[in-house]
Amino acid sequence: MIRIPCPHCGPRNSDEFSYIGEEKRRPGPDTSPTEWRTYLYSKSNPAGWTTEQWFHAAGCGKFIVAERHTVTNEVRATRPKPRFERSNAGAEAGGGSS
Amino acid sequence: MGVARAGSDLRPAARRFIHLRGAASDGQRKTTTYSAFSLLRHGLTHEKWQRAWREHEVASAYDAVIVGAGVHGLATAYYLAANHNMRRVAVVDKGYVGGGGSGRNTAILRSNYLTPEGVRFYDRSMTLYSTLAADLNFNVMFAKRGHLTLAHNDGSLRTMRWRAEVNKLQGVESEVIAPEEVKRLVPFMDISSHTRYPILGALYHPPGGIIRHDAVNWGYARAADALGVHIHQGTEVLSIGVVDGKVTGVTTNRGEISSPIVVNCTAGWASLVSSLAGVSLPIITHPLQAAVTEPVRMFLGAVVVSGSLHVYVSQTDRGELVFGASTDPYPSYSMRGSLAFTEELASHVLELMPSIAKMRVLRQWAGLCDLTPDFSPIMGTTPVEGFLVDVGWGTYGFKAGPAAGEAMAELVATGKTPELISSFGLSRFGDGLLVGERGAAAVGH
Amino acid sequence: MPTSTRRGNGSVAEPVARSPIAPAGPTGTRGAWEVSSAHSKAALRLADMTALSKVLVRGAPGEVAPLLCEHLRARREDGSLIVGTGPDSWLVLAPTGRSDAVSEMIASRLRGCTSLVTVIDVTHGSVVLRLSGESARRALEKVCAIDLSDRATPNGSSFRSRVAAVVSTVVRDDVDGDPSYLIVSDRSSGQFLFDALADAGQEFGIGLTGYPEQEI
Ligand SMILES: Cc1cc2nc3c(=O)[nH]c(=O)nc-3n(C[C@H](O)[C@H](O)[C@H](O)COP(=O)(O)OP(=O)(O)OC[C@H]3O[C@@H](n4cnc5c(N)ncnc54)[C@H](O)[C@@H]3O)c2cc1C
Ligand SMILES: [Zn+2]
Repeated sequence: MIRIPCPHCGPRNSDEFSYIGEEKRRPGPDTSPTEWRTYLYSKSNPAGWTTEQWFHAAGCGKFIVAERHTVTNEVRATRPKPRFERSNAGAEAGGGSS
Repeated sequence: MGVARAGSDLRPAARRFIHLRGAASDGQRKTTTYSAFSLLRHGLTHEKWQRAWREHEVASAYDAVIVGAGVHGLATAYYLAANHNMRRVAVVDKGYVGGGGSGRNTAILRSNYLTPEGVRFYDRSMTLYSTLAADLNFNVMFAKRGHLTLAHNDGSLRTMRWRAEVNKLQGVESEVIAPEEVKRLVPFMDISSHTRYPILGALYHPPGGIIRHDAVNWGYARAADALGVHIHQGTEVLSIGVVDGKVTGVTTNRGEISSPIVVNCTAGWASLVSSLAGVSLPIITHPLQAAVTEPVRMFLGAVVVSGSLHVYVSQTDRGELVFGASTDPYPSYSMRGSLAFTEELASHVLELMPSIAKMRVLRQWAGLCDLTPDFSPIMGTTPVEGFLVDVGWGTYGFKAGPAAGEAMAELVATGKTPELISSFGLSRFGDGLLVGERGAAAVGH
Repeated sequence: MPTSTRRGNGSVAEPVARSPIAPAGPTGTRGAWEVSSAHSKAALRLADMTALSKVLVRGAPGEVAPLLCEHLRARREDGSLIVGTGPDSWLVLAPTGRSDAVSEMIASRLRGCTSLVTVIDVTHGSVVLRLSGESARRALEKVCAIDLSDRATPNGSSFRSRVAAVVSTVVRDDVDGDPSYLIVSDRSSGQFLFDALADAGQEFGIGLTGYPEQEI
């Protein structure tokens, strides 16, 4: 079991979180099918430091971003996940409370 | 369930590796045939057994370099030599033969998959496995015990009916059976309706079973070696040469090798090796753990899998119970076992079989699995000419070794992708033509 | 279990709400709720406090927290307890039958907020347990991985984590200097959580006690 310091709750066992995936920018609605599938399926899957999203399911219920080493499983930094990131400028960060 | 000792089983294997080094010689050779007679002769004369395979100097050029000495790499090399007479072939591995998933899996063989493409492909492997001991002159201990996938809810029962029909259309023995039938096959299973996850039925696949994974790896290595293939252990690929979109060879810690063909058979490390050739894969590496108990008298015939309980169990010919589960919940290249795994596994196993509560776990370990988005493998060509992949084996690739090796060898030798694996190309992800096997591959490796 | 609440000639006010947890010992009514009227003098006690009013508030952290409570803290106010259960969520616990009044009060206080704020009565969706007494910390530690020391979890702090594998909000809320924890989880896990805590407290001689006079 690894320990993940939640930026909202403090250090917690990883089994309180769900792993979501590598940090990627979601393409805008006008993207091509190939670009969209690349976004969906391609993974960098590095052996080393990686930036990824986790969801603190059994805690604050927030998505967070973590920098983790995939060989040692050390987590060196975490931060809250900014809301609604999109790569195209047209789609602004959306509203809503949660 | 008590835990007598948790740890990795890497040590005995590492010792084996050291033992296997040092039998250096070159060229082809006459391999001793294993038989009852040779066993008797060695018993009487105390004559030393011939090494199963030899050490060689790394040559500067080969006709094909296969990266990864697991079942996939070794089988590919063997069929290249045996079926296509291509013998200037090297299998390089940064560790030792069978040091990856091929020496860490729970050795379940079956072909009751969900898609026609999958069923056909895995069934070819079952056919090859059936005669493998004779073909390789190596006892691989394939035991067709029967394979049961339990259904604990209507959803799984529906998927099982679906699988059974697809299987039968492909000529694979597979049927949905009632709880009473499950009880007949595995008498101590609790099929009562008052359990937390009552057994509503099962998918029964009589030809499914277990095998001795080490024997398969060693058998292929020995047979390939006898045909002149070079097996280089302790030889890590550090870079892959690509000129004008064509592969030129590899650089290893033991020198450069030029070769027009490089085949990536590195499973959990597949993304890393492919990226050396500039090819990106839709793969993510997750550890998968397993555990064995102390040996007891034979009581469990069939292989039993429960997807809802995330657990499966079989009993080896030695009497140990082998347990497995789903992959660790996050990707990693670490092969450390975890207490969370053992705890969860024990609670789920006891839900199914309360009577084994007193048995002790002897060992637990982990291996790396290369998961794809559709739970189907990736076999064939890549955008780099001469750089081929045989990866994406996730938690289910041991059973595929013979069929994949045979097909990859044909591709290398003829330059044409065999029909059997044509649906499993890398391009399917860009084309949106996935081969969804999740319903048949997530837990039941 | 009979479900009809009609008994005798109907002159007694009958409870219409029940906790999912089977009551310890004899029962009585408090407001619209059937509650346990057991009384334990044990050094470690477990009570079902599900009859409390519970109001869930969500809104932007920057606007709401200064008006209610910081995340990971709990604050007492006018006979209710405001708990910061997440960066953007709060739970208000109040005496039984007060959820409308509490919702009103919170809504009017947050009226000036520019971000979307929601105030929802979740009284019937969750359970509240109280574990109190000298060994409360040691009993809770057996089923919860969080550091419960005074340094990490002092009186007036709160957190969300797993208690006996059930996702719960825990509030350290000492009563007259006696260590005490309020544990809030989904209603459907209530009986299991209660049994798990009673089991964890066995070695400390836990007693099951009823709904107290002083509710919160
Ligand atoms: C616990 C567990 C249980 C499993 N159970 C089953 C099961 O019941 N049935 C089933 O069918 N499958 C099962 N599997 C999956 C199966 O083990 C694998 O899919 C299969 O063994 C993959 O074989 P392979 O030959 O492709 O790769 P591997 O056997 O993993 O071999 C890859 C090799 O590549 C080498 N390598 C990596 N990088 C380099 C480099 N840069 N240079 C040189 N060499 C390199 C590694 O050292 C390794 O030896 C299980 C896996 C695990 C971990
Ligand atoms: Zn958190």
